Amino acid sequence: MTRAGLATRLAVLALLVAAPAMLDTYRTFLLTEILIFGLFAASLDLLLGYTGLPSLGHAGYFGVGGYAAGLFALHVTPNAFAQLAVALGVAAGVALVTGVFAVRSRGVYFLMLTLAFGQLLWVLALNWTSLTGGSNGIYGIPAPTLGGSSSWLVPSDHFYWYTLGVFLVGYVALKFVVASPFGRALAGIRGNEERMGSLGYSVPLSKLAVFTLAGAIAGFAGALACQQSKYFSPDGMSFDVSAVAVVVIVIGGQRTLLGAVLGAAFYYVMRDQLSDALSSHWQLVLGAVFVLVVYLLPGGLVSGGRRLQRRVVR
Amino acid sequence: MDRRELLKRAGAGAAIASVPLAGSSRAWAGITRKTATTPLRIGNLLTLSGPNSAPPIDVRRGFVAYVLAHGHRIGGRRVQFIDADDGNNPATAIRQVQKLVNEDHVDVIEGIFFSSVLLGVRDTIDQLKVPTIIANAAANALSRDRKSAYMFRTSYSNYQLGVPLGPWAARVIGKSGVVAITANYAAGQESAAAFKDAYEKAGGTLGATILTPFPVTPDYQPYFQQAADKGAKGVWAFTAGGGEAIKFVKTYKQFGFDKQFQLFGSNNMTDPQSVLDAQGDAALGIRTTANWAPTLKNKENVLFLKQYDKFGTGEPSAFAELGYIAAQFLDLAVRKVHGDTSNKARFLAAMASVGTWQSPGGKLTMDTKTHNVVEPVYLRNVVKRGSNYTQPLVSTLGIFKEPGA
Amino acid sequence: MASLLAANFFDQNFSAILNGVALGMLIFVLAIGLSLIFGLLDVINLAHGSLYLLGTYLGYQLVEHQGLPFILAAGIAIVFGLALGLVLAGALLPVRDRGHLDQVLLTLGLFFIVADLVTIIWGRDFHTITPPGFLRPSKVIFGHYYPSYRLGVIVVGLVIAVVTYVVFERTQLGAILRAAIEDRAMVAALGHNVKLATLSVVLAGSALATFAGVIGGPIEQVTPGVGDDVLLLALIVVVVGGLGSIPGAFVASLIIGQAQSLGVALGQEHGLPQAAPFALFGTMALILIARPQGLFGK
Repeated sequence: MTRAGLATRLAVLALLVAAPAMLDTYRTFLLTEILIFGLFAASLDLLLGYTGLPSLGHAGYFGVGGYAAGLFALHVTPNAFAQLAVALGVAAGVALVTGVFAVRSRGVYFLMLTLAFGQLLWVLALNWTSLTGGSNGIYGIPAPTLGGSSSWLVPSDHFYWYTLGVFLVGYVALKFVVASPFGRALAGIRGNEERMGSLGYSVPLSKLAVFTLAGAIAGFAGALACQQSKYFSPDGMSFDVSAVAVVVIVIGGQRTLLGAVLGAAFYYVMRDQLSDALSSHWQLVLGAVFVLVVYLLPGGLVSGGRRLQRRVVR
Repeated sequence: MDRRELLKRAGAGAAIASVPLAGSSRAWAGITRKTATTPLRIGNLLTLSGPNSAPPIDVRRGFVAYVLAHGHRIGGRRVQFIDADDGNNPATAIRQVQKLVNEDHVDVIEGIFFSSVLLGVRDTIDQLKVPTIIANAAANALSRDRKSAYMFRTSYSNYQLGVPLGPWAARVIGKSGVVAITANYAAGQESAAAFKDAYEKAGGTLGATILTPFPVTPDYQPYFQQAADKGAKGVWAFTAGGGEAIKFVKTYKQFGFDKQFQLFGSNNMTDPQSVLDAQGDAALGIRTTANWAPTLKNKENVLFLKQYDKFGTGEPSAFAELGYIAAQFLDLAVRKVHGDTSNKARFLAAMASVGTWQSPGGKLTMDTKTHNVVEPVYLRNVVKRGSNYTQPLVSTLGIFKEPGA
Repeated sequence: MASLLAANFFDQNFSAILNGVALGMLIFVLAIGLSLIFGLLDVINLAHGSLYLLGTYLGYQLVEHQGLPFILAAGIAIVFGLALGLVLAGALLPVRDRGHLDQVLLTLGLFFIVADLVTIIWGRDFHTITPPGFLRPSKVIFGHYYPSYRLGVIVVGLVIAVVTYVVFERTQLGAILRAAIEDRAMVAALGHNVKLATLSVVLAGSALATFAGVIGGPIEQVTPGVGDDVLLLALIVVVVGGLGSIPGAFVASLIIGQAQSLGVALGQEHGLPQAAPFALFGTMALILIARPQGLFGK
């Protein structure tokens, strides 16, 4: 890492830490949501961008994590870290079981099979009323606590810092994975699956591992979402959530992780502003933005930013 | 443009006729005259976008109709509306409540159409302590274990939707031969449970409760067949609204089930008018309950219909009336504190003690214990007059109260 | 199991089976274009649902407001669909080689735009399209009330299936298309005008989608969200059948249709009502697990 690169990273981190001092309560809330969705989208980028596995059912694992955290909070403990751990574990388990079947298919077939799994998990949440509360969702979830302190996380600034910490752990873990030998093997699978197989890599096992890992981190993000809203319902894991995650990755730029987070920020801020300005017709403009991004900004925000940077440096 | 500036501009606009109804700008004013008082800031938390936004937008229209019909004021104060689209998603709704309270500094929130949204925002509203009037979402829990000191419901609970036809079915259809069909989601389940309870208290024995997949049922025929196989003479039904209601009623007629059993149930089976028009002849003879009808003869209803007519969007739906009574309730509460909503405890106490008032749908009473309205429920029958389908009142089924436990 | 083979099986499930066929045929008509556009252009076209949506609202406008006969409205929708196909071809061609995700974003953007335009033009209320007079009443067939309109949809769907099959298997155009799905560059090198063949497929597929919107109106109703529902069904049918395979899409349409009607009816009769909401995606998951390349895919 260059010195300038390190300095930029530290500056961004400092800005993120100081954000609540500069933003009002609502904007801090919105930024918290962006970090949560950004982490979720980044976990999908690991599959979609790095490994070339386009999942359209990733919200299923986000939802499994959200319900696991919420139910654990309702019935066992309000401890925030315990909920994160449980969500991570349960989401990883569900991703592993569904992944066994999913990784056998490729391309659009993988896309539709993951869609089916995501929708089946959603239907399950909608119909397993005794556990999930059905369409009403689970509510009355106590505020999460950090060990001894029972109310530290209640103010939105504090919850933001907690989210930022968890986000960084997840994000750095993802960065670490993509830079590792395993990450390079994933890139090899994306490029040429047969060749990786003939080189002695177990392609199905690697795919299953990355599918499980991505599902686990999605569950982690789902737990954060549940802790923030103290509520979770099937709407939190619907097809829309999966589709938006794909959209923000493409807008932000694939295979960068950062692109997923920037895409999430772009989507949330855009939607927020459009919804203010246009009330019920914000979808129209958002759709136009999608179209323009594809035609004018191939490679998404990150590559657009890099092009701009190069031009400025020259 | 800065949001505040936008508010000012909207406030300076002259023509009331230009009040946006389908929604062009989020913040706008319902008043043109300049007065010394600060305007009452009302957040409209409703599903304003997406395929299910027609009924929630009706609620908003009804609310505006009341304000326009009453000197453009609520409790003597000018009014500023701030729209917040929840997209029929609890997470979005929670964000919007944060925004309405922390950025827009609203005095009161009105709206909330869907139950999942209601249960999702309940804790946030309670924590932020913002007075809220619920204009449709009917989850029982809000009047029971999830009751909030800050929330009042002027529409109904699912219990109130399900109970009224219980004794009627026992009397008209019989003590047996009744089957319930409901869309398998919370509103339907809670209403069906209430219907079963009421029917059995009236001496009946329910044949079965059949659940249809929610949100979409591709084919209703097997479910009607199941009811027929159980020997149904009458079927109480609760359908998801809109397209599902149209499919449901058409299937009933097209497959000849209308020759086997009478269909009756709660109002979203045949409301709003566009749904009934699409059902056409298939809906003839279906009995549904309602909290209001355009044909009711009282002063408020005349005022409501007259004002609504000026929008040029046709006859109001029952959802529009729900918006109207939410505004009516707010007006009464703000009047009780002489327009001063700054003392929240006093304002909330005023809301709880509004008592009884005359709405377009008859006499309503705010129950201080449950924060849920006590209301008359009417029975309607679908008939064809000329080339139009209407639902005249058959009778009053009684006054119904949410038990609160 | 015995009861599944009972003598009165068809009698008992008569309506459910026919409903499954009718639903299957409707989805099939929509899925033809989706499948061929994928096969020839390698483009996932989510805007296909918008074509259906525009078709269904156009049909509603022409029949319910302009008072045109249903069949004339369906014809106009076909012409309208051809015009939309030109627009669609223009929008899709620049992103042909850009990967599926860019295409998904683009066509999803178009889908959003059209969905909102429809609410601006026609509002958000729920409507229907009245079927032609001679198909309006229900008929008694083998002792069952059955809506004759759905029988009409089944007939139309079968006719379109046969025509598509003949065009594909018995004509010069069909031979070029089949070869182009396998290897586009090779067919172009042989001097055939693949571009024109592709354009004709995009136009025909779009026209079938708007046509499906009109004939689907009386069954699926005219609502702002109907485009989402049918698009999902068509995508499922295309993938379950095998990408680019018309016979595959036909068989998959019948299976998906039956899963949602006969499957549900059997669940009701045999004490498994909880299974109904899982029928659609469960069927799709099972087929794709057993055959990861779809029923007729290679």
